Amino acid sequence: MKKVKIDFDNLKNENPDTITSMERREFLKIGLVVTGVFAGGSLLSAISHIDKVFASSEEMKEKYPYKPHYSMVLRQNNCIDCERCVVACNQTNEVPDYGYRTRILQRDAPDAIGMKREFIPVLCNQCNNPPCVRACPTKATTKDETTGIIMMHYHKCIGCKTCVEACPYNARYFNEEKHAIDKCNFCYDTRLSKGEKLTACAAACPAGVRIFGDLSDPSSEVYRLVHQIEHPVWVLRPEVGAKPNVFYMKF
Amino acid sequence: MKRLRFSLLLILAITAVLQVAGPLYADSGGGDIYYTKPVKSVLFSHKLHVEDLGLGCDMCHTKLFEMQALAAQERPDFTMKSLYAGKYCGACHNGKMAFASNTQCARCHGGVKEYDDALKQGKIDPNAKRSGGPKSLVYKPKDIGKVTFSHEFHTAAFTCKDCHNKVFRMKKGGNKMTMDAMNAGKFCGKCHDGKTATAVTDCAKCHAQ
Repeated sequence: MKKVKIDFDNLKNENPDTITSMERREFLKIGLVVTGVFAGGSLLSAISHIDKVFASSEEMKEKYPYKPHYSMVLRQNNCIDCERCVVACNQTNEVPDYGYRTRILQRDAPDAIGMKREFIPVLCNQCNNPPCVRACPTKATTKDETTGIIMMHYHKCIGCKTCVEACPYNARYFNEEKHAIDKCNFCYDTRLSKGEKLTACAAACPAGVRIFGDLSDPSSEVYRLVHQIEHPVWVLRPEVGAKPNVFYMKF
Repeated sequence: MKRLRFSLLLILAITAVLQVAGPLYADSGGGDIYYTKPVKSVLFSHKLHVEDLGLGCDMCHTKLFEMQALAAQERPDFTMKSLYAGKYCGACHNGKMAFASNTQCARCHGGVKEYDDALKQGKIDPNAKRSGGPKSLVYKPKDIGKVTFSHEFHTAAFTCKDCHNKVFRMKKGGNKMTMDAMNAGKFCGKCHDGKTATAVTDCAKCHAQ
């Protein structure tokens, strides 16, 4: 290694006052180049920036990056834990009995007046800032560029289960038959890609709890429910910052 | 001394009465009913409605609900829509007499979880034949030995409709039974006429010695 001799007694002053305007222009040009790459960049880089502005239900959005932007609203008041959605999902997607793609959680409130329990359906929230995608070492799970659904590529999965740990919603499980992690994908391969408009769970619910649709379509029910302010709409665990696409309301 | 003996006898008398009256009310109506159709499941508590709220049997039986437990869920019109129209539970659960049936869903609907819990705790036997009503009724006539009527035995062969309400009213003390009436084919005498079942003239068959 070549030893650089530093003349400590005669060091040049490097504060901003001594920089020439030519040097400043060269420096600024670097910034223009970088911006240019982003501005004219591919769809992928646009999406990677969208998640900075794409917040949860609190913020109104002018533009949706996905078409259709699949989303689900869960109207908790009507849920009666009949679990027809769970049965339909398991049948449609060949979910083994040790696993689950969707579950109904029960919360008891023994001191409440009137109704003393509530049922909360949970499933993969297809997050806009997915911790599972970030955690996967083999890119076996990715966010689809067209629909926003978090897809699983089973052949790439090595079963390390880091994504299971990372998921804030406990939505993933290891499927022994597939030798890979499995989770809800909004029935994309079993129903949506085949022309069906609804997921199996949304179609099976007898009480109108699961409202599934395209969040970017102003005429859809999900759009109407998420954008109205009369009844509060929330997401689960917003503090995690995953920015989910599944919304809840008690209406 | 006399006062002490009197109060002791009083306590004894009250206890004796309670011993007889107790078992009669032990099984108020039909116990817990777990509906599993069209959705699993809804728990109807007879205890809550009969004991806690003091509703009489004829408030629901038989205009709103048959005697036979779970008979309602076999009918195709056992839906929420019917309830909103005032049928079944909806006759009272309309927002005026009791909370409306289109509110507080999870108050009655315990879902799969409640059903599976009850199954695990042995509260439900899906295979058991529902006998309905108190398992046995004890009648104490003044001048002869008491009669114990077994619901369990009779429901093995007959349905609720065979006796209720035409032959026996569903009301404690609502059937003024006399042997004359029975011999004329009323009450027990409807079947216990010597042909269908042992005649009522066979006293020892029912009356304890």
